[in-house]
Amino acid sequence: MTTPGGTDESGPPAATGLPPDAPPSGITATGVTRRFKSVRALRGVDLMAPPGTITALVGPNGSGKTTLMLVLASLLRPDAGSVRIAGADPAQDPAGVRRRTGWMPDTLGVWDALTAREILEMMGRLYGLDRDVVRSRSGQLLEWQELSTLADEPARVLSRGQQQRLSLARAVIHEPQVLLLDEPASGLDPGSRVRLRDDLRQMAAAGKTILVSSHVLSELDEMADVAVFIQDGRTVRVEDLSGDGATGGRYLITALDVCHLLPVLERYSVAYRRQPGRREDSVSVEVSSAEEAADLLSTLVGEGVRVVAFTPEASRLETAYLELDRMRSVAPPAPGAGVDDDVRPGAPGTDAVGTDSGASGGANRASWRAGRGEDR
Amino acid sequence: MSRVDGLVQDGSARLGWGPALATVVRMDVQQRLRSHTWFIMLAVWFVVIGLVTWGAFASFNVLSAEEPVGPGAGRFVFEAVVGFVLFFGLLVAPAVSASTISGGRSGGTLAVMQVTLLTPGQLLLGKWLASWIAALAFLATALPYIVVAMSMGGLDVSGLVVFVAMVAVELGVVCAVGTAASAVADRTLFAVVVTYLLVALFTFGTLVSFALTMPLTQTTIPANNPRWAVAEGEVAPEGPETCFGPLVPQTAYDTRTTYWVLAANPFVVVSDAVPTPARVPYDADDPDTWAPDGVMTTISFGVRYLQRPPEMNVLCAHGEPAEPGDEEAWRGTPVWPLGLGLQCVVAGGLLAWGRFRLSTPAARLPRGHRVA
Repeated sequence: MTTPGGTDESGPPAATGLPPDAPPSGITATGVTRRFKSVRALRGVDLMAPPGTITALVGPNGSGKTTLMLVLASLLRPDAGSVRIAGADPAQDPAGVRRRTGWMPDTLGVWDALTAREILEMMGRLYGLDRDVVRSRSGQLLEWQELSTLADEPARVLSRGQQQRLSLARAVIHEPQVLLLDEPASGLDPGSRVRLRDDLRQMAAAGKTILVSSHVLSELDEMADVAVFIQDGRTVRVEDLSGDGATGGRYLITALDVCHLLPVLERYSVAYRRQPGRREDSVSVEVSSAEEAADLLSTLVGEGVRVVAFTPEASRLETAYLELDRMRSVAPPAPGAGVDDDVRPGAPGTDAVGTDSGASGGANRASWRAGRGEDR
Repeated sequence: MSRVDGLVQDGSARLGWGPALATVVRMDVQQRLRSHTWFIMLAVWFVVIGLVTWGAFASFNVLSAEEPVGPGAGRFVFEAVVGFVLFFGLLVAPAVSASTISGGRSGGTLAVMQVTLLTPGQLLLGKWLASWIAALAFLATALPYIVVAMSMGGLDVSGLVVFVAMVAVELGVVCAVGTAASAVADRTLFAVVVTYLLVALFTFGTLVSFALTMPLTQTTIPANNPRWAVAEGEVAPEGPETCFGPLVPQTAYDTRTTYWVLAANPFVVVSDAVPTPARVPYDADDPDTWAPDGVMTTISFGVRYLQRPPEMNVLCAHGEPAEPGDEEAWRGTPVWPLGLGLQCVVAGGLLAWGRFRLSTPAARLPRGHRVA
């Protein structure tokens, strides 16, 4: 767990604090604050995203993710704190930032009477690219996002997912070094999501700095190298996701016959919890480390239990998120936290935090989660 | 991204005004051209001006009584068409201009343009030009009828060109106000309403304030009685020959101090900028040459008339008969530079404010982005 401000002694080296001689590339933000009248949207965000990595920006609705994105995209002036995007300060040199930054907003802005090709070409022109360069590059990007067949249709005929892909193509028209993607996966079908993930990984491998905000934690888990948690406008935790992925925590064990499993667990005095509802054949156990998990599995198998599945209940990102959530609900609400009035994690239609695999222990849940927890 | 590389980036160059404006204008104009309602509006407009032309021609025939096509018919019909185009243009220009930027704000397209190398000034100017072009389409639609009016004769080409140019300028001013309002306002509806109110202020507000201040200009001029020397069978000359009797204070209005209020009226600006046409002289021997003034010429004469010293409106002021020819010689001073200047100050001020509101990184959050 971290202290607010991102100084986490147990965290990964890249994310603990900020070295004074930070390289002039990627994204560096220190102590960024921003308020709108009475609402303190950002109260001190620290973020560092080195080139070649995908950084996930995670936090509940209203935590300040989009505000931070707007600050990084040079659209909003922070009240305090310093921001460097690829070495340039958005407040001092917005043009320098914009030339090197691609921003994909959460609201889809589409000129519905223009064609996809025209939108790309004109945006490219607005980035100062030559006509010929823009033409060939638009064609490549349309092909890349598989929009070639729709390239000369008005953008209004594009589906939401296609508009989303067009938006991504538009964000990279000037081949930026830094990509800021605000909820890029919302509205995408599973196939497109996999595509998006692969595209982003590919761009990161090419040395781009990518910052992605999303609620789809399972996906961020698969693509992101580092997760930065934002809550109430503060960086509350930085989690390295680039390790092998196995840690302690709750594991879900599914056996062919649960009646064989339970006596074995009892014999080894392993505390377990039966899964409610349709997961009656599974139990949930807590282990302290990946090694302990491996030991438990080999023991079970050695005892002749026919284990079908042995898997972490939640991804690390989900575990971390839920942990933060619990802490937040225990702590009294921060004064002036008007930003949080509309907090509704897991809005219908989006992959909610802590989906079916979510932790079953609801003891410390916030009131808004309790309802969700029980209706399973 | 290896599939899409091969791009050379100039690290220092800013976006030039040429490509910036061309791109913004193209985006905006193409958006409009692809809407069907736009062409339906223009078609309706074409029909309506046809009716106005026909109506103006018919009333000219009634006013000029005897001769079906008098020598001034072209001028009369033309002025009616121009006056109507200006009137309708003042109604259309706010609608086409005041939705541009605020519409992009609510549609999410403005921020996408703001993160490019486009400067706020380029964005604002491009949007203004685009809306002006759209408004000029209405003027262009009316051009066939102007040709019809020309074919009726009695039109001097220089006056015609100035008329059309001044209408275009006025539409540009209104579009500038509308574009600036849409940059300032958070909501499209608010921008449209503000623009209409400003247009109404120029068009009707100037008239109302002139009318309201009129009583304040009341003054008295000592004058006595005129006597005309009228011979048998002659038409009275312009002024009295002699004055007689005691001087009595007579009420008159000295509008020299207030006429300028009317200057900012778009109709005054347009009509006053046009050189006074060579009037078909009143000839007692040939009444068929009498041609009624067009609506715009009448407005221009009206404003020039208000600049006259009150003495000129009182017979035998100070007991002196008016100099013969004074009436005809009176030209007044052009008020359109003042009017256009006032309009430009308002539009320019709004544009500066709009530019400030479009500047990023913004100190204030533009509407359309929610907080956090």
